[in-house]
Amino acid sequence: MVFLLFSDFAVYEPHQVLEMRKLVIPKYFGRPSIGLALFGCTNRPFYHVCVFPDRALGRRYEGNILEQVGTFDPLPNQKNEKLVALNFGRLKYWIGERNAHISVPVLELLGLSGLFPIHPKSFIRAKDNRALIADQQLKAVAEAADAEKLNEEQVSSGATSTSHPQ
Amino acid sequence: MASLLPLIQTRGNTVNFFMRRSGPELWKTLTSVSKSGQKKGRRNTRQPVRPLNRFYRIGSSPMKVEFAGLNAPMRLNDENLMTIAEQTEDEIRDSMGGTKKILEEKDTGKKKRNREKLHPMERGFSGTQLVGQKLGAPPPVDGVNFDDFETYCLEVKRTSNMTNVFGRVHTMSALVVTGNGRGLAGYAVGKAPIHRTTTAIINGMGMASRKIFHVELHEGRTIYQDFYAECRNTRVFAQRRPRGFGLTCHPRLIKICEAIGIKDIYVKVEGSTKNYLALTHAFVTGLLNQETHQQLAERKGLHVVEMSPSRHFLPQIVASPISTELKTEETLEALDRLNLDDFYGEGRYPLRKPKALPFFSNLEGHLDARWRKHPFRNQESTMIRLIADNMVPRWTRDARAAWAEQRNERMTTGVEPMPLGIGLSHVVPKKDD
Amino acid sequence: MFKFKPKISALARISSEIRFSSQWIKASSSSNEDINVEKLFVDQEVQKLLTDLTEIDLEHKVFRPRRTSIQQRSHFALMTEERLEKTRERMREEARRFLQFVPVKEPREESVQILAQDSELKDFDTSKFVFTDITFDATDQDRTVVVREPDGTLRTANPEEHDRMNRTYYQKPNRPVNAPALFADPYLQNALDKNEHEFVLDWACWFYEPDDPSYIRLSQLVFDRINESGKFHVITSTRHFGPFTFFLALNDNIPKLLNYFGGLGRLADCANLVRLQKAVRPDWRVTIAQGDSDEKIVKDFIKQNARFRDHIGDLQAFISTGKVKSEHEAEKHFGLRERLGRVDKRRVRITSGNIRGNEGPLGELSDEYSVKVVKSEGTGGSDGAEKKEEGRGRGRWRSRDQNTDDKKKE
Repeated sequence: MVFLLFSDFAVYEPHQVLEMRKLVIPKYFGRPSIGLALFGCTNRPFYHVCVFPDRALGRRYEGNILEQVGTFDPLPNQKNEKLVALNFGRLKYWIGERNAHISVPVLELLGLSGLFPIHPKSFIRAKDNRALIADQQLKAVAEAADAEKLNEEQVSSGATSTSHPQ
Repeated sequence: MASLLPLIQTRGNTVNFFMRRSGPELWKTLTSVSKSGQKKGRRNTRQPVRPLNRFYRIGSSPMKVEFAGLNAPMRLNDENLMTIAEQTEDEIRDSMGGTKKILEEKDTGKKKRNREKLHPMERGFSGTQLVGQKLGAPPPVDGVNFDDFETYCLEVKRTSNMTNVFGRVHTMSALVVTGNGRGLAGYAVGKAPIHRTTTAIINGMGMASRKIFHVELHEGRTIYQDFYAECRNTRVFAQRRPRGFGLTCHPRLIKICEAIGIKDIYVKVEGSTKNYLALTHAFVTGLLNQETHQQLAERKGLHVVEMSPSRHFLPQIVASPISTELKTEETLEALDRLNLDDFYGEGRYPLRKPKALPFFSNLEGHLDARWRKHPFRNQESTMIRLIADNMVPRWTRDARAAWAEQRNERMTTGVEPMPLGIGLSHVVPKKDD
Repeated sequence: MFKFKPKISALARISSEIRFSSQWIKASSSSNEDINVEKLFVDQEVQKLLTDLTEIDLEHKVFRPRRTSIQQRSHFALMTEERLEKTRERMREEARRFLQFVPVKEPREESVQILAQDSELKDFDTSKFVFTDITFDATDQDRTVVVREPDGTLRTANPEEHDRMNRTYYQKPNRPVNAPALFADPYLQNALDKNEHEFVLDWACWFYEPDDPSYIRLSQLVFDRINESGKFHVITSTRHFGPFTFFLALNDNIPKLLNYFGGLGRLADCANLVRLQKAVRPDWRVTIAQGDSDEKIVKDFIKQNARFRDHIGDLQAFISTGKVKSEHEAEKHFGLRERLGRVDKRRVRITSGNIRGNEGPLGELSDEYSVKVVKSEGTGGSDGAEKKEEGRGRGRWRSRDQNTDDKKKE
C-alpha cells in the first residue's frame, strides 16, 4: 500500500513527498567497526576488542557495543608479557562476512598475532624505537666517557691536593 | 458567773470537729472505700495513713511552753511549773524547716530496688524477668535428687476466675519445664495467690519434677523422625537436622529442647504461637510418639540404613531386627517400599514462604548505592590473590604505597622500561624552562 | 591468512623418541633404557595388577566422612539384605570410578615451533605479546597460544605459558593463575607432616595437566617422600596408588612397600607386587611361572634379593611366624589423625548375634545373666500411627494421658 502511495506522489513536487523514517537493526545495518574500547580506571587502562555498529547510527559508547571479541592489556604483567585474547572465530565472521572496518590498533594486534600481515605502523614503531635505543646507548657511552674523565680529574686533583696539607 | 446548779457540766467537744473524734476515725474518712467503690477500682487511689506523730513535737510552737515533766525537766520548786517563752527567729525557722528535713531523710519506699545487672547470657526472654532464666535444680522429692536438672519458667501470667462469693479472684500461674539434658524432662503449671510470682514458680518446679517423662534421642542430639503434632490451635512441625545445626525454633521450644537435651532441630509452629501450654503439649506429644530405629526395625523386619551425604551416601546399618525375622525381597509388601520420610508426616508439610526481600530492595536510592558499589565487586578476591601470590607483604595502605613507590623508582631510574606501545599514550620528556 | 599449526612437526617427534631415558626412571638396575613408560602403564596386565593392588576401602578411605559445602542431614531407609548388597555393589562401582588412576605420561616437550621471523619488527615493544585464541569450541589442550617476541619472532607458546593462559582466561575454582605456595617447600613438607599427601596430589592433579613437567616433578617428589617415611597408609585406596606403585616398580624400589604389606599380612598383595615388578622389568633375573603360589613367589623374591634384607623385617616375621603387626600400632606410629574426632566410632551395633554375648550391651555381665528378648510395646508401631490421630486434634488436651491409658489396656 505504501509503495502505491509513493508511486502516486512520485509525479508531483518533491516537497510534498513525505519522508518515512526507516527503522534499522544496528546489528545488521551497514558496515560495523572493530576497535579497542577503553575500560579500566585512572592510570590503569584496559581495552576490550569490540564490534560497534555503523558510524552513521551514532558514536561509539559502552551501550552501543554489538559484541566483545577479545581483550588487550596494554600494561605488561610480572613476566613482562602483554596479554591479548582474540576470538578468531567471531573475528573471521565479522571481517569476512560482514566486511567490518577495523581500527588501526586492532589491525596492529592482528598483524602481530599472525592472522593478518604486519601493519606498517608496527614497522614504524619498531624503527622509531630502534633509533631511540641507539640514541640512548650513544648518550650512555658519552656519559660514561664524561664520568671517567671527571673521575680522572678528581683523582689527579685529589693527588695534588693531598700532597699539600691543609 | 458561778452557776446555781449543783452539777458541773463537762464538755467533750471542747476544741473543734477534729478534736472531738479519734485519729483512726478521722483517717477512715480518707482511706475507706465502699464495696461499689472497690468494684470500680477506687482501692488504689486512696491516700495512705501518714504517721503524724513523727511530726508533732510537744511544746514546739511560737509560744514556747515548757511543761515541767513533759518537755522540760522536773522542777521541784513551785514557781515556774509552766514557763512560756517566745521562740527566737532561728528556732522558728528550724521548726518550719524541720518537717521538710524529716521528709527528705525519709525513705519514700517507692524507689526501685537496685537489682544486680545480669550478664547477657544469663538473661531470660526479656530483661531481668524470671521468665526464661535458668532456675537451678528442683527440690528433691522422696529422697530422689534432681542435681542434674535445670528448670526454666516459660510463662508467668495473672489469671482470673469469677467465683460467686468473692467475685473475680486472681491467681498467678507459671508454666515451668525441667529437664536433665539427657532425655528426662517434665513440665507443669504452678499456681499461687496473686503477686506471689516466685511461689507460683516454685510450686511449678515441684510439680514438674513429679511429672517426668523420658524421650529417646537419636545420637543423643536430635529426634528420630520428622513429626507433626497439634494441640488446640497450635500446630507443630518438627524436623530432624544434622549435627551442629542448632535449635531453630520458637524461643519457648528452644528452652524445652535444652531441658530435654535436643541440640539440632528445626520446628515450625503454625497457628497460635502464644499459647505456650498448647505448644508444650503438642511438642511433647509428638516427641513421645516417636519410634527409635531399633523399634522401627523390629516393627518392619528390615534393616534401618543410614546414608549420609558427607559419606557420599554409603549405606551404614544403624539398626537390625533382633526379635523379629528379617524380611526378604519376596515377602516385601508394597507398603514396605514407602520412603521413610513419608511414614510419619501424615502427608503434612509446613508452609514454606519464599524469603521476603527487604522493603528497600527496589527503591531508587538502594539500586543507586548498589551500582556505585559495583566497580569494587572484585576487590576482596583480588586482595586475597595478591597476598597469596606474595605481591604485597601486608595489605595495608603503607605496604601498598611502598610497593607503588618501588615500582615508580624502578621506572624512573630506568631499571624497568616505561610501558609504551599500542593503546598507551606517548611519553615525552619534560621541557625544562 | 596464516594457518596455525600447533602440532609438532614430524621431524621434531622423531627426535623426541631417540631419547633414551624416561623421566619416570630415576635409578634402575636394568641396562635396557628403551622402555616406553606410557605404553607400559596402559598395558593390560600391568593395569590389572595395579587395580588388584589398590584395595577399595569404602569405609575408611574412599567414602570416609568429609566436610561438604552445604550441611545436609542423613537419609534413612528400610532395606532388605539383598537391597543392601545391591546398594553396596553400586557404591563399589562408584568407588572404582573415583579410583581411576591418574595417567602416567612423559613430560611434554618444551620445544616451540617458530611460525614467522620478522627481523624488521625488532624492538617494536619492550615486552612480549601473548595471543590466546578464545574461540568458543576449543578445549584446554586444543587452544592456540602464540607469542610475539620483542625481536620479532612469532612462535607457539611453550607448555608453561599455554597452561597459564588457560588458567587466566578459563578460570576454574581452586585453579589460580600462579601455582599455589603449597607445591613448594617448606609448605609442602608441612602438609606432608600432617599426612595430607592425598590432598596435595589431588590438588596437583586438578591444577596441572598430567604431562606437565611440574606435575611430574611434584608427584615424584611426594612419592619419594612417602617411600622414605614409609607412610603407605596415606596413599592406599586412592587414585594415586597405581602411579605410585608403578613408579616404585620402575625404579626397583619395592622392598619398603613389600614390608608394609607383609606387616599387615596381605600376602596376595606382596605377590602381586612382585609380579608387577616382573611385568614392568621383563629382563629380570627372576622367572615367575604361571601356577606359582603367592608364598612361593614372595619367598623366591626374598631369597634372590638379599640386599633388601634390612628393609623387609616385618614381612619375614609374618612369613615365619604368621604374626601380623596390628593396625592400631601402625596408626599410632604414624600419628593418623581422627578426621572427625568422634569418640563413639567403636560403638558396636546391637544385633541378634551379639545381644547375648560379651560385646553386647551387658558386656561382662552376660556371663552371669541370660538375656531374654521381649518384643517392646513401644510408643511406635502401626497402631501408634492410628493412636496418634485419635489422641491429637483440636480441643484434645489430654492426648498424653490418653496414650498412657491405652498402654495400660494393653
